[in-house]
Amino acid sequence: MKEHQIDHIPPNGNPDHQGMERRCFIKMGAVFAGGMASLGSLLGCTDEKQRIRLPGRLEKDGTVVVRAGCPAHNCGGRCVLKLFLKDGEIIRIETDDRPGDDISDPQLRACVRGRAYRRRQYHPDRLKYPMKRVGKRGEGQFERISWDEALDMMASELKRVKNTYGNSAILVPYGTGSYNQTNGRQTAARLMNLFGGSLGFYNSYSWACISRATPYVYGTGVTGNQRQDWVNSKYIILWGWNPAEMRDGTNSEYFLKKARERGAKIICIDPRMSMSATALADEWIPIRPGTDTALMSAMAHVIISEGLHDEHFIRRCCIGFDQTQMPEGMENEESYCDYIFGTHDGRPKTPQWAEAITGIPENTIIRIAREYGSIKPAMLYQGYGMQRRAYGEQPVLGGCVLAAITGNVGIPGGWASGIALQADDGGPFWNIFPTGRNPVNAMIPVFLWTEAILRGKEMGAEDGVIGTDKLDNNIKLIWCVASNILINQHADTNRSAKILKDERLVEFIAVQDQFLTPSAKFADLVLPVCTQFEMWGLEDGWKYGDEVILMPKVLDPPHETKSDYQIAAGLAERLGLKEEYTLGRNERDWIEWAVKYFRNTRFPDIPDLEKLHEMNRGVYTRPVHEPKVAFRDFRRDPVKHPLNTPSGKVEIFSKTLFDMGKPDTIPAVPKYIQEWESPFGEESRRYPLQAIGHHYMPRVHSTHDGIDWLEEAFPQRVFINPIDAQAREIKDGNTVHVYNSRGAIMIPCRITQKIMPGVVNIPQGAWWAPDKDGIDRRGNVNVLTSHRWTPLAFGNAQHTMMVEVKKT
Amino acid sequence: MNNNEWPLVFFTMLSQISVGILIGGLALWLSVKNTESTALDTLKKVLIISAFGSMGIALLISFLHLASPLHSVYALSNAGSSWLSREIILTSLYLFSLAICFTSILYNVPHSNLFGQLYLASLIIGIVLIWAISRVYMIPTVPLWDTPATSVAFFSTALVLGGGMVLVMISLLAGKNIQLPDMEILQSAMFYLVSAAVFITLLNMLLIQPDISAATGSFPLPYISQWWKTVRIVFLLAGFSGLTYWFTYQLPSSGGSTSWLIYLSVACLLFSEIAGRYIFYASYYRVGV
Amino acid sequence: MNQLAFYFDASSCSGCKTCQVACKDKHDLPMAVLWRRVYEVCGGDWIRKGPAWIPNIYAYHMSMACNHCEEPICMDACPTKAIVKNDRGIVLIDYDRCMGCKYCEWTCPYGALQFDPVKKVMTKCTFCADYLEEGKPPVCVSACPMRALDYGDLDELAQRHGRSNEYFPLPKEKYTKPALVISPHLHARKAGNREFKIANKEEVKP
Ligand SMILES: Nc1nc2c(c(=O)[nH]1)N[C@H]1C(S)=C(S)[C@@H](COP(=O)(O)OP(=O)(O)OC[C@H]3O[C@@H](n4cnc5c(=O)[nH]c(N)nc54)[C@H](O)[C@@H]3O)O[C@H]1N2
Ligand SMILES: Nc1nc2c(c(=O)[nH]1)N[C@H]1C(S)=C(S)[C@@H](COP(=O)(O)OP(=O)(O)OC[C@H]3O[C@@H](n4cnc5c(=O)[nH]c(N)nc54)[C@H](O)[C@@H]3O)O[C@H]1N2
Ligand code: SF4
Ligand code: SF4
Ligand code: SF4
Ligand code: SF4
Ligand code: SF4
Ligand SMILES: [Mo]
Repeated sequence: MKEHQIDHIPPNGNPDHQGMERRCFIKMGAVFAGGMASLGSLLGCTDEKQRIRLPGRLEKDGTVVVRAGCPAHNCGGRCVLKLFLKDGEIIRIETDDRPGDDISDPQLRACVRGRAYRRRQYHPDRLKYPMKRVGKRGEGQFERISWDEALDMMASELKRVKNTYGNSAILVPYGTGSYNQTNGRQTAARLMNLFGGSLGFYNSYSWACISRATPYVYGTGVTGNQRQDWVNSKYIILWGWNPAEMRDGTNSEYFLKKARERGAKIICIDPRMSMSATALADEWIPIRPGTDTALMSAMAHVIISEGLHDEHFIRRCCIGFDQTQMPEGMENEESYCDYIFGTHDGRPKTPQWAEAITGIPENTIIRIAREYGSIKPAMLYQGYGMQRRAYGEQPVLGGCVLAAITGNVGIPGGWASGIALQADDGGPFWNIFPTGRNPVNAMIPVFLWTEAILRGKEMGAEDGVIGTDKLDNNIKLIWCVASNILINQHADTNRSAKILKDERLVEFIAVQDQFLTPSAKFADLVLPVCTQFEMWGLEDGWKYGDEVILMPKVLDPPHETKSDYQIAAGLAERLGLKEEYTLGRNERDWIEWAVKYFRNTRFPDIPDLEKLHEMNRGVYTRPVHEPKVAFRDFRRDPVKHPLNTPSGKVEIFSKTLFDMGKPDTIPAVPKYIQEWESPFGEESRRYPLQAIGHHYMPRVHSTHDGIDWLEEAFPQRVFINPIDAQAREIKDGNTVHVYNSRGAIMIPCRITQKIMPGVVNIPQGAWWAPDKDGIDRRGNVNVLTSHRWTPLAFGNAQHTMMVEVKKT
Repeated sequence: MNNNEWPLVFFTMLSQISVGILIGGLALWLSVKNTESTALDTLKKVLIISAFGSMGIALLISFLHLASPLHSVYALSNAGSSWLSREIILTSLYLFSLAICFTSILYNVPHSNLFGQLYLASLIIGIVLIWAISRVYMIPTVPLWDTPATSVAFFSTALVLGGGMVLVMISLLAGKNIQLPDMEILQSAMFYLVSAAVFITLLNMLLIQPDISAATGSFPLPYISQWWKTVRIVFLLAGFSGLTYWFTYQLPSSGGSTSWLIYLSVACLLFSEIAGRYIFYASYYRVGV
Repeated sequence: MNQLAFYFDASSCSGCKTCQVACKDKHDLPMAVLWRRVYEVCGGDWIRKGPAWIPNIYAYHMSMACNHCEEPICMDACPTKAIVKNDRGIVLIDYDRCMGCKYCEWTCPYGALQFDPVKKVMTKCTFCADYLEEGKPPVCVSACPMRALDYGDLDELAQRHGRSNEYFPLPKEKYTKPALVISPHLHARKAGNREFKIANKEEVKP
């Protein structure tokens, strides 16, 4: 069948208009079916409607096939969906079908969530109208209001708080619901910056430690080779890394499969036998959570004492390895070798020492150390779960150092560890939408926003505040866009709920979402957002990515929903900022702008929007035939291409960290530090089990929770080892209590051998659903997590917690 | 066992009872000396009506099990390879033949040879039907069913309950003052029939064990509550003991208050068989997944 | 004979269930009906050695649909001749004949046959026959992010990957002669194994 171009609607510049009505679609279908497509005849039906122009094949039965990006939540991937549209409805979703599927440019195949998206798109619980709170805050009682009323209320609250306290009392919190380039949180951030600013923050919930710690060793976060290079590796450690489930860039799991086919041995170090361990690893090595740096140190012990380290690389490219290469003035301080061999503390970090801490047999440690030390080239890829922990900086530094002393830096098939953004330009540009400069200079670490509600005015450098000595306000207004952080995703849910309930603290909360999330239930004003199929959008890769994915508008926003941009634009009008905010552009114009932006930066050959849309391939890619290798130049000539560290070298010992003067929590070389809640600590008497909350397949954090097809495939469960279950007389499927001093949840369990004894897993992201006793019946792990932050990055340590499980 | 298999419990049991009644009837005929009696004619009618009735109900119940009963006409089309198709064809034939038998009684031709031939024909079709029903369950991928024990069990059910029902009918008629000739002989015959069947049942349970090692299935073997197993065996023995007691001390029974032990015993056997059939379905276990 | 078959690479299946949901979406399957579903095989023991734990365990996944068997036991069993095998070897159900007796469901050792409570007939994988006709691959095959699924002529697939499929939790071939070729996971054991267990029963037998 021929490709049809369906362009039946007159242009319309008004971004606030709803899309074409359903009946027009039907009519359109009928016209095409009759084989007498006359575009003109259709013009009549949509006079003031914004146009939806669908490129693509028109099937016999009137179905139109459009390729579009999967809604850009913070999901770890970016994939192409092939949408089958009929009568203005998505009737089926498939995925990237570009021919070839070669690893230089593989198909961006959707995961289970993308394939189930219809169930989210047409979910009966989608928000339909703006609503204002009627009951007490947090009770979840709302009343429908008009958009005018909603935006007026929002505008007047913004003005009031600005006038009473100043802009720094406003927070647009962390929110990752949309990485669609012209949508999501950043639309609000842009407006606030024009409005005089709002309290800034740095860091993320994802990568706080890894993004902060990596540069201490390498002077940059761009430590990764391009993925096509992975097939050159001979030994790969998935260290707390689970790409088969969290993707970490669409196709990461597939690249690893290819590497394995090319002969790489893969091992996985994780307290759980993850999907990646099952599908990709030759061996799974369970480790007690929070003890990775102990294992790393013991591996270093074996590697160095057996002479498997890369002496040449260390001498040329590193400092701080041993006493002979300490930075100036640090000669008598503890070098890395001093720590490993216990010169100062009298405790050599032997495999035997590590066995007692990590739970990994001494022999296994010796074996994998020898393998990693001798098989070249090798990759030690660290996941992010283990840095979302107490002292999460240490395993990051430890991984970087292991990669360096084995000389796996700057070579094909090697891997420098750390955050590993992609060479040569650091990977995708997230958030290209110009948010402008924030006139409020003050920034808090992202995780400390509840502190800034309670005691903002007392917060300074010791709480990680930058840009000012002390904050001049507590947070008084929250405009929460594309985020469930207020309740669900932040640590210690019961505490957050208590803080937010108190109307004297935060005076106004607006939540802008597609569903009445647990966070939205704490809003004074709920603003209904359309889905990303119902607006124009554009996305690029998640972590890796040599592609730009177009998200043409394919559906009309139902009921009174609007896109984030439309909402912000409407608010801008009320704040007298419409021109500055929109620059006269509608949504689609911004996408046109974004495509140009990409052309000027990363993709010089990308066609313009019109052409991209017409091509209907879903994605524009830049195939990678010769993958870039990070630090290649540096390795070749460290003098001519020094690193961006104080010494210009790989800093195994960091004088900068040393100078912070907190050797117990921020050591200058990576060290194992016992976590503040640990099986070795006092608290383990009452709460003997370690709990983690991994990123689960059926959800993106809390997004997609409650989607029937996904729940059927991956029910929310607490995963527990048979040994721990038996000790508690728990049977598979029993509903159990999981609790600690911060709260309790009650959900069914799954007894599985795939988790280490002493550890339970409650996949993160389930929607908090407290019963009348405050016990969460859905299993939101954050009921149990602690809001204590890590010492260096002020990051979230949400995987560090002790709990007890009992039969109900 | 799935709740939606209850219709099958009753379908199979009722059809077996139906055939069992015919078998019981035949045994009566063979043992009675004085075949010229109006009471016997009444008994014939009762037998045929109950055989017909139970099979009719069985068929109705089997329809309950179908999700798209309108398509059931097609069920006759695969006699070539499907035991279920054969079962359905035989069910139809059997009912048809019973219906003719029944009609011949209605038109009062019970003394003629015709009735005897029709009766025998129904009986033979019925026996083949039970065989076919058992073959329906002897599925190669269901090792716990795919054994001769299934056939034996279905026939023993027919005999235990068929014989039991005939015994009850005789006693009921007696209670209604319909004087059957050779009462003692008739009741003895039925007692022996039921006893033999109970022994077969016990032997079947003990001797023909399914080859579980053939089961390469992956789910745990089905769990069947001890309760059902207890009901099965206790009621079987209780029913049998009751009948034996009656046979030893109270034979013949002339109905009314004196035959309560028969009714109670047969009821026990019925419970036992229902439990047995429940267990049978609950033990469904397929190789593979 | 021309017999279409599935290839499944169990050694790289992650259990992500994209195939399962893609199939559900393509065929609009109601809850609890999974024409393709993913079994999780897992078990074994944890061994304590001093302060250390040694996992002596096994785990892998098995993504399974109808195998369009060469000797389909389901087809022989069906009284209404609602189950037919077409010229490409695809086993299909004629919804206009099926009377919903569920007998076939008892027989299939691959759990392929699933009753649709809405349509009131037995249903199962169609090999996406409509797509094959248009020259497109079955939806589950083109969905797999691991590229662990493929399809093609049985003999060709067997030539490429070796003709074996008798791995736990699947039955021995002899019952139905499935058109299925599997590359086993390194933990896999032969069919008939009596120690291995399916760990996600609630997800595959809803
Ligand atoms: N399906 C899915 N994919 C996602 C997301 C999602 O919500 N769902 N979220 C996306 C986002 S925003 C992010 S930031 C990433 C997150 O990606 P990660 O942070 O890497 O994911 P996690 O599941 O938190 O942790 C990865 C693994 O670390 C293990 N782990 C936990 N504690 C320890 C430890 O102490 N030591 C070791 N060695 N391992 C440990 C867990 O068992 C888990 O298997 O995922 C992205 N991808
Ligand atoms: N215990 C524990 N907690 C964690 C983590 C952990 O590992 N353990 N991980 C942390 C990490 S890494 C992250 S990134 C955070 C993520 O936390 P959040 O950023 O809060 O992510 P989500 O929970 O996915 O919430 C996103 C919301 O955006 C909505 N949404 C989707 N699309 C749009 C849109 O286009 N517009 C608007 N306005 N809304 C939209 C969704 O409905 C959803 O409610 O969670 C953190 N929380
Ligand atoms: S990985 Fe992300 S972008 Fe890809 S299909 Fe899944 S949810 Fe969509
Ligand atoms: S989509 Fe592929 S990897 Fe995922 S479960 Fe199915 S077969 Fe396995
Ligand atoms: S897998 Fe089952 S349903 Fe499919 S053809 Fe074989 S026996 Fe029939
Ligand atoms: S359920 Fe339908 S397809 Fe299956 S045996 Fe019965 S009639 Fe045949
Ligand atoms: S071939 Fe089609 S019908 Fe069969 S399992 Fe795959 S997607 Fe489902
Ligand atoms: Mo994240």
